[in-house]
Formats: sequence, C-alpha cells, structure tokens
Amino acid sequence: MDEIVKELVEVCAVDELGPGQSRIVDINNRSIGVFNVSGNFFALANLCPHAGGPLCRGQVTGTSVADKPYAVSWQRTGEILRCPWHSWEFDIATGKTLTDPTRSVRTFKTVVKDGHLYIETGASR
Amino acid sequence: MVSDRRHAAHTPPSHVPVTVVDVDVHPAPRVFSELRDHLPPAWRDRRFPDGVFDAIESPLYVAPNKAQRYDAVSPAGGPPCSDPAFTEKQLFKDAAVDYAIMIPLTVRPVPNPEHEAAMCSATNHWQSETWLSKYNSHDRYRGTIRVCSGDPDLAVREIEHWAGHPQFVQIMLNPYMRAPLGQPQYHKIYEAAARHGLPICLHVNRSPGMGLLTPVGYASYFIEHHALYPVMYATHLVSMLTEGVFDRFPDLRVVFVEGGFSWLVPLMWRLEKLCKEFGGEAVSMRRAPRDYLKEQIRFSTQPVEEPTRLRDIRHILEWMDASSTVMFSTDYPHWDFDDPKWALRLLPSEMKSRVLADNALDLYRLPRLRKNLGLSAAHNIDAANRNEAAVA
Amino acid sequence: MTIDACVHPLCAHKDDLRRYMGEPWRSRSFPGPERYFYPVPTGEYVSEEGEAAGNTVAADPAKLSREIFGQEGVDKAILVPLTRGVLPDLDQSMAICRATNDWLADQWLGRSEGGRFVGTIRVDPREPEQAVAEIKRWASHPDIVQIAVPLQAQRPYGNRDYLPVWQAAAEHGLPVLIQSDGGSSIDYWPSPVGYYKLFLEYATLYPINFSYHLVSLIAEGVFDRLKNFKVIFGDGGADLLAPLIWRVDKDWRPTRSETPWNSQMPSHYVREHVRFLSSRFEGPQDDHDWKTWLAVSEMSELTLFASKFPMWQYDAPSSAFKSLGDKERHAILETNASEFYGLA
Repeated sequence: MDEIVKELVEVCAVDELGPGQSRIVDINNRSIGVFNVSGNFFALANLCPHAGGPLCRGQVTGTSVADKPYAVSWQRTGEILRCPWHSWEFDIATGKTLTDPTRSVRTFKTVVKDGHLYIETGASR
Repeated sequence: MVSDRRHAAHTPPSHVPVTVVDVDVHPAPRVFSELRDHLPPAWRDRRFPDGVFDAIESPLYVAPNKAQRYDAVSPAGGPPCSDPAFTEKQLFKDAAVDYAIMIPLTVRPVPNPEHEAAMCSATNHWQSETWLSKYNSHDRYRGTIRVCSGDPDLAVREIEHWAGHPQFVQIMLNPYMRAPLGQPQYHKIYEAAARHGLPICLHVNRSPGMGLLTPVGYASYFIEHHALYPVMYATHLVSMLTEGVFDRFPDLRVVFVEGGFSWLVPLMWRLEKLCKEFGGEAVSMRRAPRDYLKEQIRFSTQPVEEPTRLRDIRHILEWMDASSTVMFSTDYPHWDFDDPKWALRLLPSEMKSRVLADNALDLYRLPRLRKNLGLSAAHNIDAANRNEAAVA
Repeated sequence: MTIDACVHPLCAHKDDLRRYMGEPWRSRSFPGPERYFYPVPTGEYVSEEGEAAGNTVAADPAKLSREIFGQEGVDKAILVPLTRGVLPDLDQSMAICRATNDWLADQWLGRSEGGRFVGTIRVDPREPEQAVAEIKRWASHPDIVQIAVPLQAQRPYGNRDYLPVWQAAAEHGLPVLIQSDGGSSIDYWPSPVGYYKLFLEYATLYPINFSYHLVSLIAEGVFDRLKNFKVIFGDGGADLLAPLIWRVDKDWRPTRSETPWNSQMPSHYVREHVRFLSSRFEGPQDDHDWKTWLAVSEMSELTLFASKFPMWQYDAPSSAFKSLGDKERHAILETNASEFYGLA
C-alpha cells in the first residue's frame, strides 16, 4: 500500500498576506486559493464543484441572513467567497456552501511556522 | 515552457476543424458614445439618457453581480465583453470556442417604436464597424440584426438594410411583447427573414414596466422572473405553431436563446394531446407540432437545467432530438456562463459534436474548417492540439 | 379506493345562489361562472350520446352521486364549487363566496349515496379580514377538507398581503386549492406576453401560470413561515413543473442572499407542501415513455387524480392512468389524496 507523505509547501511570509487578502498559488499542478480571514488562514481548491469555475477569483464578502421572511441583516463580512461564475456562496473556513444540501470545495490544511505560511499537501509514494 | 519550445518551429495549419460554436455571446460598448454616435442625427440631438443602451445595468430583477461574470472584467477596463483582446482570451483561449454568435443587448424596449428602431440601427452599425470588422480579423464572430420587434414595418426596414451583410447571420426579436409572436401582424418579419435566409432568434433584453407583468401580477424577486422565462417562450412557440408560421414560411428558422430547453418536452406532449380534440382551430397548422422541430426550431443550451438527479437531463435531450435541435452556448460574459468542457459532460457522447458545433454550423452556414488567422492580441491558440490531419 | 379530488357541483339555475344572499347582493348583477374568453369549441361541459348533459347531472346531487359513485366507482369526491374569479368589488366577491359555501353545505355536504362528498370553502384572498372570518366559520365542519382561491390574481400568492389568509388555512389544517375560476372578471393577460387567440393555446398554456404563484410562495418564504401550509394547483401543470423547478433550483444557490429566509432547495418545498390535480392531457404520448417520465418528473408522487366532472377536461376515473403500473396508479388515484388531505 502506498504511503501518504505529507508535505509542507510554502505560500509566502505571513506578513505578505494580511487580513482580507488572498492569493492563488500553483502547488503540484493544482491551483489553490489562500485566504486570510481576520488573521486565520484557509486554503481552498480553485475549482468550483458546481461547474468548474475559478472559485478563488471570486468576491470575498459577507452575506444576508434572515431567520424569518423580510427580517434581513448583513453578517459575516469577509468570511464568504462567491464563485465568480454562478455566485455560489462558500464559507471560506469550511469550504461548504451556505445552502443546503451542502456542496463543498476541497480544503487544504494551512500551517504557520516561523513567520511563514504553508499548505500541507499529501502525495502517495 | 516545454510545449512552446516543441511547437516553436511548427507552422500552424491554415485551417482548423471547428469543435465549438457558441451561439450566445453579448458584446458591450466600452462607452455609450460608441452607440450614440451611430444614431441617426435627429435622435443623436435629442438629449435622451443613454441608459437604454446599457447592456449591463438591467433596471429590475437584477442577477447576481449585475448579471456579469465577476472575472470577466478586462485589466484594460471597460464593461465585460467590451475589450476585444480580453474577450478573445476568455472565449477563444480559455473556453476554446471557435465561432461566437454575437447578440448585443443594447436596446431595451421603449414605448416609442421609432426611438427603439433608431437604437437598433445604431447597434447594428456599431456591430458592423467593430465586432464584425475591426475586431474580427480572425473572422470568428458573427452578428445579430437588432430590430424593433413591436413595429413589424420598422423591423422589416432594418432587415432589408442589413440582409446582404455577410457577417450578420440572424435577426433578434425581444420576447417582451404585447401579443404572442405567431400572430399575423408579425408575419412580414418572418417573410423577410425567410426570404433572406436569416434565422430569427428570441432573447430577452429587459425594460421596466408592463413587459414584466405576469398573468397574476408582478413578481418581487429575480428568481421568480428569471426562472420563468420559459413561460414566455412557450407562449410564443405555441402561437407560432398554431398560427402556421412554420407552414407559411418553410424556410424560416427560429432559435430560442437563453430560456433553457427542457420545457419543450412536456409542452409538446400536452399540445399534441390537445390537438387531437381541438387542433381544428389551428387551421393554418398543417402538420403535427413535433414535425416542425427538426427542420425549423432550435434551442440554445445555456443555462442547462439541473435536475435533482443531474443525469436525468439525458432523457430530455433524447426526447427532444437534441442531436438535431439543440446548440451550445456560453452566454459569455454573463454570470451563469457555461464552460463547454463542463456544461455538456452529461450529454450522450453521440450527441456532443452535434450540439457543440454541427447544428450551429448548419443553421448559420459557417465553414466547418475555420481559418486559423491570428488574434488581435498575442493570445495565439495552440493549433497543434487540433487534428491537423483534417486539413486537405 | 378511488378518491376523485375535483368534481364541480353546479347551480341548476342561474339565480339559485341568490337564495343564499341578503341584500344588497341578492339584487345586484354579477356574471355567471362560465368563461367569457376562450370558449370551448366542443362545449364547456361533457355530454354523451343519449345521456343527460354533464351540467344537468352536476346540478342534481342524486344524479351526480349515481354518476360519480355508482357508474365510475369513486369512493370519495371533493366538491369544488365555482365562484367568479377576480371581481372588481371585493365585498360582492366575498358575498358570492359566502353564499356559495352556504349553498354547498345546504345541498351537497353530508350526503352519502354510495360514496361520500366532501367540500371546499371559497374565499377571496384579496379581502383578508372577510376571508379569515369565513375560514373560521367553516373550519370545524366535518365535511370541509380545503379552501379554494382563484388562479387569477393581481399579485402572486406569495405576496405578504395574503399572509393572514394562508395563516388561517394552515392553523386549521386546511390545504388551499388554487384553481382557475370565473373568467368574466378583471384578469390580466392570460400569458406574460399578451392575449393568445385560440382555445387550443389557452388549454395548452393557461395552466402553466401555476408556476408564478408557486415560485412566489417559495421565494417569499410562505412555506418557511407556515410549516404545515399546503397548496394544490387545480389546473394541473405537474408536467411542466419538473423543467421549471429545475431552473428555480439552479437559480436558488446563486440568489440565496436575495431571499435568505429560504433554508432549502425550492424543489424540497414542492415535495413537502405542494400537489397538483391530474389532467388527461399531461405526460408522454407513448406508453413506454411513462416509466422514465415518472422517474424524471416525480409526477406519481405529486399528482392527485381529479375527474373534473362535468367539465370539458373530464377524465373518467375508471379509465384514468391506464398506462401506469399498479403502484403508481394507486398512488395517484388514492394514497396521494388520502395523505395530503388526511382522509380516512
């Protein structure tokens, strides 16, 4: 059986990606978007599970929420990623759609070490 | 990069086989003066607002991100699909489209038909001088003649003006009408279209006001209006069938663009069942409704309906003989853009090339081998990936 | 058991209803129940050779019982009396509804000659105060199973002005039948693009207008707010439902933030809250396509059989849905209705 080797691939220095910022990196032929949401780092595949759009090029924003009709409030500013194609809303932290039934984009673990940001990837050997 | 080095000394073929025809692309002017300057002088001098030209800002029932793909804004600025170089990159390179049929949404209906006709004329002149010539050195764009749908005499006048132009391949009618499109007052439009061998396409271009009224009043939200475009299209189609439009004009072709296609299947079933008892009323319709489909009626794919079980769309496609009746579209640069690689992955493989290219090549009489001319910017397609053996 | 989810009892004489009205309504003119536009070329009501005309039978409780329960073998029939659609004078409209309800209860309900008639309360939802009062008046009547409102409207039925009416219906566990009614009233165009000409167009297209109400009810959060509110579309349309709801589902995730009170896919609300009366004009022509069509459209879960006697659409119960397998036929002819209405 193949062994999964976890690899840390560097994205950038931590202070190069401030809160509200994002960038897209190419790791092992996979395009990955890296986001800083209020000081926490998240990484998502740059491929929307809906129709293949470049998800991480979408708008980082908040969204409207209502627990009953017409009572709308704006929440979660900076936490939501809207696909640039069909505007599906994803929770950056979890990679899940805001809508049910849940659809997800693949997420990757981020690691901060010695002032640098890494993405943890697995590759079989 | 390795692929570039390998192909550097390779002469690109003069022609490449067409694999994707996109029958729904929406160019926009960079600035409104591009259109205003083409208005007839009387209209140019009136200080009417330019909002009617606005291909982007729909006033009501606005789609997400003002109906535009968020990533379709060119680095050079301007609204989506206004920069020819960036459009070429996103359409021809990224989406691998060979030909694109342009349908400019630059005329929102107004109550004065003369005004609307003037805007149509400006749009057609603008197309002729930009997307169909200056921006078309690669000869991959074709255009759509905009006409004032509500005034058939003015529409015919505009058709006659442009009919000989080789890059205009169809005429657009706006479905937001006050009477279903099969009725006799429109027949002179179909006569002219059929005589010139120009298909008619239907595509929405929205104004506020009564065009938005449904049989049960006005909707509140975008989803109500957008999801139910098919009810408009179904009404026009049934009217055309029952008024014998396809019988009177056997050379007429009608394309329903951007309204989906799945609705056709149950609609035809119910129409045919009702025809058994009530078909006598439709004195001008000489054949069964389904008999007109293969020859004279077409549908664009986008936005492809998404059944709960996505694969169910295959049954719809088979029932409606999609191998003959359906043509691929992206709707670039709109928000609900369909990429050819993804949108048709559920299609039975024997249908794919018919839907992706052949049906549109037939309808619009486009060359199956397209000239492999350079693009306006340095975004050359890697033609070595194409099947060069096909070139004579 | 066969449940016929829609039979139309008729007044024998034009002015029968006036006996159930007080003044000034009793003396005031109003149109009959028949449609002015798009008359039926073969006649509004069924009539068979050598038999009494359908409308005569439908005006006589004994004759109608024999027809529905005796001849056709129906066990339970839901009576849906006709009113006058969207009349200009709201108070007159409600007066007609009240009189209709009194007439129905007096002459039709509670009879059981070989089968059981249950019934429908008519209200005009544009007048919420009077409509709610009328719902409350009849809600505990043992033979009332639903409320009915016209398909015709001046705002789609998700609009917030109607909420008190839907709330009252939901509170009393009564589904709302939305069905084409009247036809000599202040309706808008029958299509989104104007008046069509032929009855053939009307018959093909008019029932599809259910979709405007359906998407409105979903988008305005009526089903989120009223968890046990149920709706049934009485002109059919279950055949066009599938392609249209697929579009609505597709549009929902992108536009969630415009109607953020929706917690589920639009099609989910349909399965939970909405049903359609059947029509013999819907579905594939070829028998061998039915199995696939049922799987694709969910029609056998969402459809309730309705004969619509004595109207031109009449679908004889004894011969309906013969192309279907036993299980699907049984669902459409009995269990879908018995579950939806809670009929024993």
